Amino acid sequence: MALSAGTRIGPYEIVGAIGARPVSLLQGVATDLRYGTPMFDLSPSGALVYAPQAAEAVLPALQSIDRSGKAETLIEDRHFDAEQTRLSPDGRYVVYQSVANSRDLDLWTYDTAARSRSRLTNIPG
Amino acid sequence: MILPDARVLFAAWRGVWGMYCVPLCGGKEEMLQFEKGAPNLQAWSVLPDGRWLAVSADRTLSDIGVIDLNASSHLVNWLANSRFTERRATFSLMGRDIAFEFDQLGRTDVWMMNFSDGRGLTPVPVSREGGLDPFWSRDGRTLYYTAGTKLMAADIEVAEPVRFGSPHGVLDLQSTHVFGIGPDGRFIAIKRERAPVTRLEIILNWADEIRQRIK
Repeated sequence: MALSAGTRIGPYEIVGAIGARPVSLLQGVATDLRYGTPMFDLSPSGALVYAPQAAEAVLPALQSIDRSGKAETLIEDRHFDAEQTRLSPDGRYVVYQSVANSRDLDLWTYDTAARSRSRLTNIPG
Repeated sequence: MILPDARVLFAAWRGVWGMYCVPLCGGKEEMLQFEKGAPNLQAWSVLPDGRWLAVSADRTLSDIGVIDLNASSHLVNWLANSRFTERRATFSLMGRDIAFEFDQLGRTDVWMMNFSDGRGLTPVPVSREGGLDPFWSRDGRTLYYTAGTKLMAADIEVAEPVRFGSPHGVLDLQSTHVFGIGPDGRFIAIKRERAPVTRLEIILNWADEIRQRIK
């Protein structure tokens, strides 16, 4: 669906659109470890500052950790976001966001008992 | 988040921005109508009986509340709506207590309050030197949270008002976000690590570069 003036997204209302095609300015920007957001900002004079992504970065991982601190990696996913990951009340399932195999952010579930993951949503948005 | 009836509740854009449910095994999505005037509504936890949903929304900064999913209209019953930030409201699995992040003391700490029939009693701070990401043991008698790199724990007594022991360190985990406990008692966590940021780069006149690229 095209976004047009008057459309509401959460608390925001679109008042107009410039209709421009987005272009990539930078790649390899470091992301915040907690939220997964890119680390950049603009100065009042308009300069863009960013933290370059470290070349040795490893994929974020879902882990199971015992009481002694020994960790076992269950799965890896570049888009694991600690802020948006939840555990089911019975502790068996993990639901998380990922763009794996897709251009859009979808919900995925991981079954810690069956050790398998599956995509839950497959709709742009 | 995953509801006890094996549905997943999530916020998404489906022509309109809203909260939707989809079966855990996949299937048709259903939109849930929640109270308007609760922008950026986020669901954090749900009681095992599926009745009460703990949420936060951007009102006076961020406030926390609960929604009765059995009620005909899903209005938010606000538990804490100060001029400070309250978020990440997390029920104990017994449903007796609720923990949350609160920055009233000038830093974000983990607080908790007794919870009964949709109401929260006087909140008290649990962490002493800052705390984030509260979650409960499966018997509801231990409250875990993160302080720096440490996973902390406080033993909770069944009492009203709230009583608890001194928080103590459980594990020291670098770059790891622990967010729950599995049925086998192991912690479930996300590990994100990288080399420390030692360099920042500055781009001047980047607007000119964009103009060149869109020609």
